[in-house]
Parts: sequence; structure tokens; C-alpha cells
Amino acid sequence: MKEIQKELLKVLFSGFMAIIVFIALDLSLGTMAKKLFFIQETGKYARITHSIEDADAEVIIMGNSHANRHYNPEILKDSLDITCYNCGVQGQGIIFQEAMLSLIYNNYSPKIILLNIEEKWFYASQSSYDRLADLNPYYLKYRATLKPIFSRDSSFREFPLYLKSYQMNSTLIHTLRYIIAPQPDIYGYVPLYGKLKAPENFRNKKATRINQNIQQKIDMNCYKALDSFCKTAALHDTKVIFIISPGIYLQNQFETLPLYNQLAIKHNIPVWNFSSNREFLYHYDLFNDNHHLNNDGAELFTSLLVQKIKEMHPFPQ
Amino acid sequence: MLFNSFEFLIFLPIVFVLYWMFYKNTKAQNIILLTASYVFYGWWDWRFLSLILFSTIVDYMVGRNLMVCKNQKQRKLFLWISILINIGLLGFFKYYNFFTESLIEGLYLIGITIQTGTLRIILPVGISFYTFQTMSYTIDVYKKKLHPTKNFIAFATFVSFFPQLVAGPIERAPNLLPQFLKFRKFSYAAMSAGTKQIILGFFLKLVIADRAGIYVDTVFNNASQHEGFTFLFATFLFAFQIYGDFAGYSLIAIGTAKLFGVSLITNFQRPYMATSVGDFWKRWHISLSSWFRDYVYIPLGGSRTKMSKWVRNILITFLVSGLWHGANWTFILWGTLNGIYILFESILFKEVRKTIFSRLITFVLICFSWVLFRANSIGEAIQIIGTIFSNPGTLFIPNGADIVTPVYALLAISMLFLYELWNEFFAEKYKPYFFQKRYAKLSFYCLIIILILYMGVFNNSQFIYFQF
Repeated sequence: MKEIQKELLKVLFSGFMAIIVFIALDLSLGTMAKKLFFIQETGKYARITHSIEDADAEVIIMGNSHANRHYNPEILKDSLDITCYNCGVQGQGIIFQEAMLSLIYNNYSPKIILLNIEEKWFYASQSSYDRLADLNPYYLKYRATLKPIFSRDSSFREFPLYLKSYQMNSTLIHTLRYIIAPQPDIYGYVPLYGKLKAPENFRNKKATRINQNIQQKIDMNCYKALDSFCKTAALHDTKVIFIISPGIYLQNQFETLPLYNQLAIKHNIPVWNFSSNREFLYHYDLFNDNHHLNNDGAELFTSLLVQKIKEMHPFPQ
Repeated sequence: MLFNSFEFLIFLPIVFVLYWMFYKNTKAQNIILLTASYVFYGWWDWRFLSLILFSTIVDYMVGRNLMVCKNQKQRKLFLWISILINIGLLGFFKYYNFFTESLIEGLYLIGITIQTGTLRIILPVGISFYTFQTMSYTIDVYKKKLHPTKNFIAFATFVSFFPQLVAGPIERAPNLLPQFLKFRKFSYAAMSAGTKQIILGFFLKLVIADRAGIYVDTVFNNASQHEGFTFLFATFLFAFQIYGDFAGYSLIAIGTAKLFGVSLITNFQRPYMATSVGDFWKRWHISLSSWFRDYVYIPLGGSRTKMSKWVRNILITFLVSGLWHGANWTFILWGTLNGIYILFESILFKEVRKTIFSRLITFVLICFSWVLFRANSIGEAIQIIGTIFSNPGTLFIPNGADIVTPVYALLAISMLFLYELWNEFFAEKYKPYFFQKRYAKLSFYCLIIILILYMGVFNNSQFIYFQF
């Protein structure tokens, strides 16, 4: 009995000491990492930080990498005489956009949101929730806003976020990269300069129609997230426009478009579909890869958008 | 239940406290462990608990009958009952569709068309592991190497002990079973060693395997879109993904078992430091390699036989080992290739020199075999190998933020390499003063936890070996 008590005391004492050392390391290294994190001026996290904390643009662009790579705010700014910022974040889905919008409203209310919508945003995928991790560094500061959105995935999700190291998960190399080599960034827009080569069997390719997402399961959480996104925007008198980016190949179907249309009608939102725009279809020189426009393509696309926005009556004030 | 899940984080302390509350009562401890093991397994799919229970009852009964039966023919009959039931269950759940499809395709090639449907069968997690564990018990009892136990609870705990139930190490009854029959001591040393192994295991899994896995999956799941250098790099990362995944699981299992005063065998011993393929198999998945050695290779005649029979024995052993890993021709080819490596090595080199060159060559050969292991089909494997040799091309670098993933993986692999290098060559000779201090060690492991939190992937990903 005495022996086990002795061993138990040793275990408890070591456990206690381990907790102390762990907390000390977490606090010190975590604080350092956080300081470093907020030093970066370019890159994905710098853009998120700017969108949440400093942005005051009248027009903001939201969405995933298509939003980030296809919309040049400088053209919108110069043509429409308005301020504009590109808040697009690579790989993100609609749940993230809902969270971002709520965070932006903590700071100010934009007049127009150009939301680049994606067919796959409504499809059930764990990555829609996992990628919310991009907001981990901001979680404790904006807990009240983010908690209801984060807990949709799992009620356990919040616990590790009290650890500073976990908040900074996967950010360190990213931070160092952009501190050492800043990324070109035009009001949040990150241009691509590659040019896609026309395939050798160009004629056959012309006949290509993309039809990838057959029989995908719809995640109603994502549908509700967009509904909530539109409601929040309406509450703040922000005009939302759903935009489908140009594609290089003809889309066979944009299977989830009826769901977007439902919400568009419900919230009186225009849907501008550029996916089959002939100025882009099979124009390989306007694309960086199969999914993204290059800078030339982005400039052309943004100019087309400017025309559409100018045609809008009444123009939101 | 996964080790890398929040459920396990709650489950483990509860079982731990309950277990040690009854430290004087071995029977109660076994009941707690057995219940916990069934909860752990049933968390995934409770229906398959019946399979474990059935296997347990069969081998317990066969063991008891083998003890009382003196007639050699009857004893053999009991042994075959156990083997047929165990292999039958494994064969049905794991291989039925594979053999049916292969038969249909084979007959089609010679012009015979048959209409046989495949079944929608769910592969019970860990069936290959616990089946081999119970079978080894019956074989050892049959060979009179082990006295069968009368204690059903202890036997059932041996079969289903949760730390190693679903992905090993595959324990032998003479090592594990007696530990459930005797008093287990609560010791600080065991708790401390166990916790350290769990931490290292999580580092291997969450930082190395899961980080590397992101790049590897991107490349191997879109094989037609990539070029030679990309495949080389992805294969290199896969070598560490599978090592981190499996050795990580084994370490967590061994560490968790230690928390309950149970000692499991070492399953990995720095395999990528091996000087030959033969040496590699003495360091990689040791519990399975030794199982095949003792229950397949040696019964077939081992190496003390004619050259032709020895070649046959080696090839059969590795072919079966490949098949054990999965119902796919890629695994069979992978196993056979490793058998061929061993044959050539044994024939060409009587003694392998322990040089950096021999270690490097071994690593390259093993990596080459991993292409077969990871490819989704034989055709894809051939295409990948062809691309590596014919079209080096450029290295695929993921877009935007995803670029950091392989960088984290390489950073973590470098840390692992230094750690293994130290343990392989210097750990026994030099013991730095700093690391002899208790608090230095404690800080070192706390730092590893911090590194896991900074660099790990936290998406509850499955362990690769669950599918085997």
C-alpha cells in the first residue's frame, strides 16, 4: 500500500510539473508565434487580418481562390470611383464566408459584396469545416462571433483553441515565408501570370464538357450558412451579388445553381453567370491553369464586371 | 475509436482511473479492460463485436480441448477447426470479393464468361490482427509450447486488449496472456515511459504521417497528371507517411498498454537505418514478420532445406505477407518483390557491410516497393514507374497555402532522422548530462507536444493499417 502511494505521488508530482512546464512553453512560444503572425503584411493570413480588422472598402469580394485570383480591385476602384478590397481565401467554402462576414461586420459594413459562388460549396465535405482552421488565430478574440459557427462541426472543437500553440497550428512556416518573401498583393488580389498551353488535341478538347459532381450529397448546413450570410448582409444594408466565374471548358451543369437561385429569389440577389462566357471559353491564354484565370483574364473579367455593375439600377449608395 | 480523437482523450483517463482503483483485484482489472476494449471497438461498429467474441470462444474452447485430448488425430482436428474458422472469417470478410473478381477476370481471359455477383462486405477493422493473434495461441497450445488458460476473462482480454486490438503489435500468447493472469504493478517508471511513447507516437502520426499524406494523396490519387520527380518525391514522403502512421500507432499502443502495467513487444526498430532488405524486415512490423517466420516460413521448411525449396518458402511467405496487407494484386506484387529482394540479397552477398551506401541502397529498394504498395492498381504502378524513368519533368508544388504542407513534412522527417541517427549510433555510447536530468527530459517531451500542436494535422484521419 505504501509503495503504491509513493509511486502515485511521484506520478502526480511529475504530472503537475509537466503541466506547469507545458503551460509555460505554450504561453511563451505561443505569444512569440502570435507576435510573428501579426507582423506579416502579405499572404493569406495578412489578407484575412486586414479584412477582419482594418478593411473599410465600399465593395468587397468574397469567395475562394477564384475570388482571390479573378477580381482585380484596382480596376473596380478606378472605373467606379469606389474603394474595393479582395477578401477571397484559397480553398474556403460557404461556412467560412459566413464566419468572415460576421467578423467583418464587427468592424464596419461594406456597401456591396461580390460573392464568387461555387458549385461544390453545397456538397457535403469535411474540408468545409476543417478549413475553418484558418480562423483559429482569431478565435479567442472573436469567440462570441465564431463559437456558434465552429461548434456546428463538433462541440469539442473549442477546447484545444485555448492553447496558444494550437491556435497557431500550421501558420509558422507560412508566416516566415511571407515575412522573408512578401507576396505581390493588389488590395487583396493576388495575380497569376502563367499561361495555359492549348492541348495538342485542341479540337477534341473543345468538345470537352465538364461534369464532375454527379450525385453528390448536399450538406444543408452549407445551404443554411449561405441563407444566414444573405440575411446578415440584408440586416446591414449590404447589396450581395452572386457571381459565377468564367471557365475554360463548358460546364455541363452547375448542379447546385437551383439552390443558389432559391436563395437569390428569397433575398432579392442578382446572379451573374460568366461560366459559359465566350470571351473565356477555350481561351487558354487567359488562364493560368484549368481552374484559374491569369492576370490578363482577371483584368478582362473585372472589366466585364464593371460594365455589369454600372448597368445596375439603382446603384447601392 | 481512434487514438487521435477527442473521444479517446476522454475514454483513456476514465479507464485508467477505474482500472487502478482496483489495483489489488486482477479479475476486476481484467473485466474493466475487457469492457473498455469492447467499448473501444464497438465505437466503430458494435455489430462486429460478435466476430471478436466468436473468435475468442472458438479458440478458448479449442485450447481447452487440446489440453485434455491425448489423441494426436483429434488434436489435429481441433487445430484445423480453429484455423479454418479464423481463416474462413478473414477470407470471407477480406478476400471474398477479391477472389471472386479475380476468378471472373481470369476465366474471361480464357474465354469463359460467368455471372457471379460480388457482395457488399464491410471489412471489420483489425480483423487481420486479432485473427492472427488468436490463431497463434491455438498453434502454440497444439505444439505444447503454451499451457492453455482456464481463465476465460483473461483470454478474452488477451484477444481484445484495446491498445493493440485494431492495428497491432500482433502479440504472442506466451508474452501477453500471462500478464493478464498475474498482479500488475503501478509504477512511476512504467507510467513515465508509456507517456513518452504515446507522445512520440502522436508526433509520428500527426506531424509526419498526416502531413506527408496530404501531398502523397494529391499525387497518387491523380497519377495521370504528374511527372517523374513528383512521383519520386511523393514516394519518398510515402515511405515516411506509412512509417509514421504505423510506427506511430504501435508506439501509442505500447505506451497505452504500459499505463495499464502491460508490456507489449517492440514493433519497429529504426527500419530506414537497415543495411539490407533482410535487415529491414527484422526492424519493420517485427510482430508480423516474426509471426510469418514462425508460423509460415519455418513450418514450410525454412532455410534448412534444398535451394529450390528455400526459394519457394521465401516467395510463399512474402506473397502471403503481401496478401495479408490487402486484397489487391498490388499488395501481392509488393510482397513478392520483397521476397525477390531477399533471395537476390542472400544469393549475391554472403555478408552485407554496414555502410552508408548499403543503407542508402536498401532505402531506395524499399521505396521502389512502396510504389506498388501505394498505387491504386497494377496498371497505375506500372505507369508511375514508367513516368519516373521516362519523364522526370518538374516537381509539383501545391498552390498557395498548401505549399507549407510538404515543408512541414520535410522538417519533421529531418527531426525524426536526427533522432533515429542518434539512437542508432550514439545513444548507447554517449549520454549527455542534460538528458539525464529528469526535468530536462520532461521539458523535452513537453516541447514535442508543443511541436505537435504547431505542426500536426488535426482532422481525425484514420490510421493506414486499419484497412489491413
